[in-house]
Amino acid sequence: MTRLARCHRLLLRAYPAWYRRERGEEMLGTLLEASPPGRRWPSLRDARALIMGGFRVRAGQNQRLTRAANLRLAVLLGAALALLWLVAGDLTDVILHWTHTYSPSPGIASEAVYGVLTLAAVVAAWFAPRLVVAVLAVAAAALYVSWGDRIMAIQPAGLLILLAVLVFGRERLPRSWLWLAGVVFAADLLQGLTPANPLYFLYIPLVFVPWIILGIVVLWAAVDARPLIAMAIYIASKYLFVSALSYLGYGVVPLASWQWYLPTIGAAILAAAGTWRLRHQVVL
Amino acid sequence: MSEMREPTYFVLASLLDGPLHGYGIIKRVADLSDGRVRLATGTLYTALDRLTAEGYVRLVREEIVNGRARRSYGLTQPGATALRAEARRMAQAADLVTSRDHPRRAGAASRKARPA
Repeated sequence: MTRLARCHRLLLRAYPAWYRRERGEEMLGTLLEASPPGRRWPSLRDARALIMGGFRVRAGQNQRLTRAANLRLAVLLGAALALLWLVAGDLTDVILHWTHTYSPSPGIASEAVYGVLTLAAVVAAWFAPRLVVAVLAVAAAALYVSWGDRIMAIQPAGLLILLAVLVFGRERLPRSWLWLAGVVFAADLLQGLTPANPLYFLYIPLVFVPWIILGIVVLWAAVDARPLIAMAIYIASKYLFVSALSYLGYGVVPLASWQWYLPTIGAAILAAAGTWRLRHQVVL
Repeated sequence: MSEMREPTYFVLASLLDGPLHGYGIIKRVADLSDGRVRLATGTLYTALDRLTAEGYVRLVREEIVNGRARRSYGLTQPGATALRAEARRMAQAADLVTSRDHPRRAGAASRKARPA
């Protein structure tokens, strides 16, 4: 095998394995035929197109969707991320209660139930039939409203209803987005657990995780802007609801003004940039 | 298809005379556009994936050449219809400008020809 073929093979690794099995040899043949004789390295144009093409396939962007369909998927992912943050909070409480408190608490049992039910609804959004997702989400929303504080239930119940409605679109959430949901959930869960020894050493690294994810998602917007919009919804959901309650004097810890206006401005900029980018997302 | 980008248009146009394999499409597109549209291989296969999914292009032949799979793609009826619709749309858009070009040029020419 020539050096050029080896380089092209390396670049083709930008595509997922299933795609390379299907198309890899055919693409390699075309690449070699299209290269001028005596060429030893791939052209910059070919390299860029292969890398971007591979990323597009990985992002599920090789099929053209309307802007509305892309926006629906972005909001659906945003709702899923925001719900995972809430679930992480519920499950953190439950785990800390089990590991550090030995007195029975009726509130913890209900937190565990709607935490698990919400988690099931979010995971089902990727894998289960749409009706199952809707039933799980509506059941979890009903539990939040009936068992918990009505005002505090507005956020999870609203997000769950949004999930139940948006899941009834033609396109499913791409499986390649699971890594984002998984990392966000794991970071939120671990961050909640860090006050408990022996996980305290994770506190400082975990502070940087959301910023690293945000950086990756901003860069990824060159290929697919939908995760950027989803992150904007996640940030807005994480900070704005509690800030609004705090502002209204509801029984939550009052926040300093910068704690809500910086995330507000940040989320608005990300959402606007992501929505603008969606228009230019598909280059062919 | 609401809006057809130029590379997509030329990929479909390259298949008007019959099925072609990947490199054949790249060469034909370059010929048809007088070298203006130069498709990179990655770009071509992104377009072929989408056009196949939309039913505008279909796989017509698969053979092994030099130990590698070579697939030829052909235009489907919906693909040909979409291509013609896009060609008509572009012709109308071009006509909007070119039809106004004439009187102005003619006017300019007559002004030049007029004796001082």
